[in-house]
Amino acid sequence: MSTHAHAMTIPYTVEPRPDTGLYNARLGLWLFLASEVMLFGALFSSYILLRVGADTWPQRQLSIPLGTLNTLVLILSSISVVMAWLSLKRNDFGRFKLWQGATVLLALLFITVKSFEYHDKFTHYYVQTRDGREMTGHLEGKPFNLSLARLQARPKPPAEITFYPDAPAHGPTAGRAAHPEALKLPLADLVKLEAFGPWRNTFYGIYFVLTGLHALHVLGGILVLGYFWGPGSRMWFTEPERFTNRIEVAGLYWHFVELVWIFLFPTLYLL
Amino acid sequence: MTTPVEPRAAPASESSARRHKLILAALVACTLVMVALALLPLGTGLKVGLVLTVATLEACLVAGVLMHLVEERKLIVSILVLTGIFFVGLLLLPILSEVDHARHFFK
Amino acid sequence: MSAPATDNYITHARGLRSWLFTLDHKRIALLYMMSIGAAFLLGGVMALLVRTELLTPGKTIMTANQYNNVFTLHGAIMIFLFIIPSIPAIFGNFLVPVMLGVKDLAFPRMNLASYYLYIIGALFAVTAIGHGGVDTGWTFYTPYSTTTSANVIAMTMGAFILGMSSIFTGINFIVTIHKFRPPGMTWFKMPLFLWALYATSIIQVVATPVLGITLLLLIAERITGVGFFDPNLGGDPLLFQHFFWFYSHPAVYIMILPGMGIVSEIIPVFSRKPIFGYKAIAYSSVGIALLGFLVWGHHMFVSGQSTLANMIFSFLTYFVAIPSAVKVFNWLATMYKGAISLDTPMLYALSFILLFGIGGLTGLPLGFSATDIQLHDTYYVIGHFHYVVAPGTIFALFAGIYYWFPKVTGRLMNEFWGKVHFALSLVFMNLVFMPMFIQGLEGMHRRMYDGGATYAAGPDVAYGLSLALKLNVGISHAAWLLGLAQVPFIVNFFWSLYRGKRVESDNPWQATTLEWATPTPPPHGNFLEEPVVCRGPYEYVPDASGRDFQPQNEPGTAPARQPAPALTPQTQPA
Repeated sequence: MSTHAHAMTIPYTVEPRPDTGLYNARLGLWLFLASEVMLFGALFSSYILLRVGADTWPQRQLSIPLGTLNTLVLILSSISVVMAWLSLKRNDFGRFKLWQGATVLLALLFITVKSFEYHDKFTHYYVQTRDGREMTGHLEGKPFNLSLARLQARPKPPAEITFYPDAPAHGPTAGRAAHPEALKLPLADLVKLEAFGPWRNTFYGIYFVLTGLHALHVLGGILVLGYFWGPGSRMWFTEPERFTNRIEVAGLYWHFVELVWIFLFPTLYLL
Repeated sequence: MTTPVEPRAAPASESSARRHKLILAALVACTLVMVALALLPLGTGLKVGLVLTVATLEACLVAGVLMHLVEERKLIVSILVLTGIFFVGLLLLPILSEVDHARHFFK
Repeated sequence: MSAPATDNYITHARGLRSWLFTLDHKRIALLYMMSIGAAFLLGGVMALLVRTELLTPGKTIMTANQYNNVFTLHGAIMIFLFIIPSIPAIFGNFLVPVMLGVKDLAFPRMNLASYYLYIIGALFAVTAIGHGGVDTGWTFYTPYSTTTSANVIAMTMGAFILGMSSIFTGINFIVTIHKFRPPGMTWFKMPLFLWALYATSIIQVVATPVLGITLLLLIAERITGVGFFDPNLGGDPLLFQHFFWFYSHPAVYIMILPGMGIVSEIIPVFSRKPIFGYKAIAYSSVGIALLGFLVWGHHMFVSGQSTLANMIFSFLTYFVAIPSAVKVFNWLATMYKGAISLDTPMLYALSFILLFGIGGLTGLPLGFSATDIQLHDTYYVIGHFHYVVAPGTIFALFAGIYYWFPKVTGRLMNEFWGKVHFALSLVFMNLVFMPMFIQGLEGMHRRMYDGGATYAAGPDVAYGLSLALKLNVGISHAAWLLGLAQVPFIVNFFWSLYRGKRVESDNPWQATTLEWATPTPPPHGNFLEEPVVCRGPYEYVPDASGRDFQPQNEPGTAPARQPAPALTPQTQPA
């Protein structure tokens, strides 16, 4: 009796099993996406609970033009990732490289815009003074994520801060030019100074968690898609069909990332 | 190189390009409609309903066409339907627990 | 008995790297076994520390703060590092491909990744022990968990990563079971262990992400101060409880379903009878998995949710008991008129049925919202859930170890010491957990450092409080003896690895399922050629050659089912 089991290999990695019509990775990825649906579902569920339970809910906190731009960027990247797969199905490796590369670049653009948005929030401040005034605006020099505690803990705390309040949304001075008057506020007068980070209120909390988790998924996608554009693409020359399947499956993941954004964008930016 | 045994035939070049241009246009249009709806002075409930409907439509386009779900095997679709039921349950959960609280009766 | 000349998965490649970077599901299963075994010992040590402290109402060996840490760690380690992964990761990984007649799981690399995610998650959790501890209880309820100075973040990150390991294992099993069944093995010719793992995997894939998000929000609240769960900041502490239990209730079915699958495998073999009600057991596994998602609110009857919610969850909870009862009745019917042999695996499987039954029945007063008001957070709950996981899942685990040890190693464990281990464990399990029901009925609260002495001033409810307090001493003694009773098992296990009696055939238990149709221990690729399945998995019926069973893949000379011999009246000899 032979002492080595050599004939057996793992079936259905490339050819689909007749009764299910699927190859392994496609079934596996859809199951993974099912778990991701529950992951983001739990976050959306938290959002609903927090919003329904809140007395007031901050709206229009985020830049709609930038959000729309990011949505269009992701839509384009979804199309390009499908085009990459189709190119492989037509044996056009050159086109595949083009479309896959475009997808990665668009994804990087998304992250760049998102970073810009995050930076904007962490340089935007809320102050409350002893006499009860509450204002939002920017600080001189646009420091990143300053807080009252951090200011006071400095070896030489400044006597006062230079604050540029935001133009009010309503009233006679609404819509004024974007260079408002600077306000000098003595440090001793300040009760609270915080950036618009997740701690600001539950809206910002859920915003950062939702978009942060989504951004992590985008980064993961960049790594995978980039790998398949680069070193991973060598498989095209040895096992083209298996490679095509991998691109399809990676594309499915990427579409899911876009799907999540399609709901994130209206929920956080528009409503 | 073996010929693929994929049940779906690779679509012809031109019709596929056209198909994808159409999808792109549809997705962009949905996005712009959502933004427009949000900027209109509608009541909150109506606005939320309309915007989310358009979002769902856009999602269906992505899932159905780009992720090939309209032509996907029954097994995958049934997995997703089951997940969808759980997802809806998960979304309803906070609403149920919120209308639950005794404090609502004492407001 | 000469040393086996055949190459098997253990001798296939040597060296540490060939184990740590293996893609062979059998080796990965053994890696899991060592890590999960270590976790079990650690959780067990925590248990013994808890019970030692409870010997006296005041300080015995630790302060109240330390006690909070110890019981939290006992729970968290046992649940996240031991019991949830145990049977799927060890037995599932080893057996799923072999029961299906294939070389490996669908995604061997993802399998190895699952293992390393388990290790990383375990390291995070163990870090929490050394740095800051965790004193919130394994349920991490807010607001305490958002405000305590303990190292909640390390423990919850650990649980998050362990969750990812769980999800990947689940995906692997679902794809493998869908795609890799050999020719002839329809869904209803699959061993019931695979049905159990399939149902478990559904829960793992769908429920675990919700826990992940819950813990992520908890971490976010601790780090950034956002008030997801703080009513002063617009949040809701009940949000935590709802999301936590949305996972953690289905999680208890992750804990029990694989154990039930093992029992379904063992009962037919040691009764020499086909399983009764195969489809009922298969459907009930999936039924438990799905119904289990609807009942999480029964952990929250006194949390402040409305009476309406209480009613609905209580009603649904009673439904989920039905499929479990279906299994118990089918197992009993399987044994009826069978030729029962009381080998160690069978002893464990039998006691599983009885003791899981006790656990399940004591769940009924807890599921009934009116009585739960009295029993919530008392020792009654502790008695209930320990009965289902300790004499439940752990006994099923032992049954599986004794049963499949020959398959994995090619040697048999010592039968005498196996029975000693069984007898001692059975007695002491009951001595530890049965009195807890009495304590709970008395109103003794769980997680209390003084072991219930606070209630000494109150009126006696049922049996006299002094009795309930005295029971603490008996329980703690029994717990130590239960721990000591595991020594014969550990010695037997390791001794049998090197000196156990070698199996005389590839199929020492004369079982029918495919894992016994390949050499014992299996070669690297499991099967030499793809088996073709001809019949169901439990055909313990005589065949032409006089054997009382017909393996799944052997064509056989007799029809799959013998017609029952006609009953002839006794005739007097002429």
